[in-house]
Amino acid sequence: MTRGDKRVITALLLLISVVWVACTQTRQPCAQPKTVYVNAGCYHVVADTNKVAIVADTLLPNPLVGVIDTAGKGALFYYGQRNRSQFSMFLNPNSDTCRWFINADSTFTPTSFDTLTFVYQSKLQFLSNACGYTYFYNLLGVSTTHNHIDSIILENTNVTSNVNVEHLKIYIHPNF
Amino acid sequence: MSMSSILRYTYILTFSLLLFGCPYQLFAQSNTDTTAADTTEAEVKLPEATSHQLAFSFDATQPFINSASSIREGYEFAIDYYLHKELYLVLEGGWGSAHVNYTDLAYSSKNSYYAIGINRCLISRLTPNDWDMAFMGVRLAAAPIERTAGTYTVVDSFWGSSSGTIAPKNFVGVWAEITGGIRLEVVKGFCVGWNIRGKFMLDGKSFKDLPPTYIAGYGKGDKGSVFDFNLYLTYAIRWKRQHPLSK
Repeated sequence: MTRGDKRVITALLLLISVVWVACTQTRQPCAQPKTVYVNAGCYHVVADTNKVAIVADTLLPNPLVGVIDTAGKGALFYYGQRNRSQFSMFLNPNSDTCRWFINADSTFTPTSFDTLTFVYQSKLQFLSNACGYTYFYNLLGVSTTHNHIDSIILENTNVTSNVNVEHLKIYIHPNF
Repeated sequence: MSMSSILRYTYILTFSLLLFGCPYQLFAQSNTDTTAADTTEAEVKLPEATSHQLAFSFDATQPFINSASSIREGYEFAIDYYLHKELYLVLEGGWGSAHVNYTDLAYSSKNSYYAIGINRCLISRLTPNDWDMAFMGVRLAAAPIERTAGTYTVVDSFWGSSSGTIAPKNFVGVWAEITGGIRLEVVKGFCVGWNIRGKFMLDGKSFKDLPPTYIAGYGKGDKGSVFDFNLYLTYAIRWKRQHPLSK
């Protein structure tokens, strides 16, 4: 057997090994996110002349953002992340409403918290055999309190695995 | 032998030559006429020097993959017939099944498949009996698929997991393939070869709702396009082509 023959046999064995390992995998790893998020951005109006508003991002100095579930307990998901304007919130697939709170500056006074209430329809969505199923959502409406939040605009109602979509614009009060 | 007998046999021989030579004369005349009308066409009508070939192929990678996988089982076969001018008519078929039993997803499926297409040999023959080939081809395939009811669980550590059932479904998958490969005759009539294939699902809508993880002939049902590889063992039978000139 020549040296060339040995190389060919070695390459074939390596190829067979790779194919064998690929075939014996019981399940491919899931390569996409299974949790989908409502992406929100914070803005404020910096000028409003001739009925044309000029809008800019608002960095919340020390935000607290968390969920208030239907059982009355809460969970904090953004804490200690200073100067942040973008937030991702997830919805409860077992319900058609969900509430989140936003505190723009971590001052624990009753008037510093705002509550966002999402109303939506859940839709079962097949991702792949590797990932199984998840839920997408159709946002029917969002309401808010008005302590630090001036207003909200629902930009996109389809909540899917597309992470590049901003669904909600949150306008912070000009006096904040 | 009398003079009359000689004349008689001469007459029979001449008549026989005329009788048997007549079709050739007519054929030659026909060719001559065609040549007069179109010289290029006459060149194309040169008789095929090769014999007929009918080849039966078995994809040897499938038993190998079946033994390695706990999820899928499949078998794939192909028959090709040499038409002419290095074109082969190809019929393919097979069957398979998949059994998915994950913690968050469980179902079974099975299907057969049928494909028709052509291969075109890209290399010149060294002799008329040289059947080694490097080829490219196209296929159109269809597969009737049966999937059982599926059970799923959406795992959510915060809100709580939810489970449900997906209804069973019977549907047909249709896809197109571009393929290329090599086939070499190692012993007279026995060949080995490989194909690589690019497959493109044509009717993706049917596959949106829990497509099978494995479709025999296609591969992963939840992919709109897949790449595949076959290693074929082939037995070819050949018989002589009957030329008009040999009649």
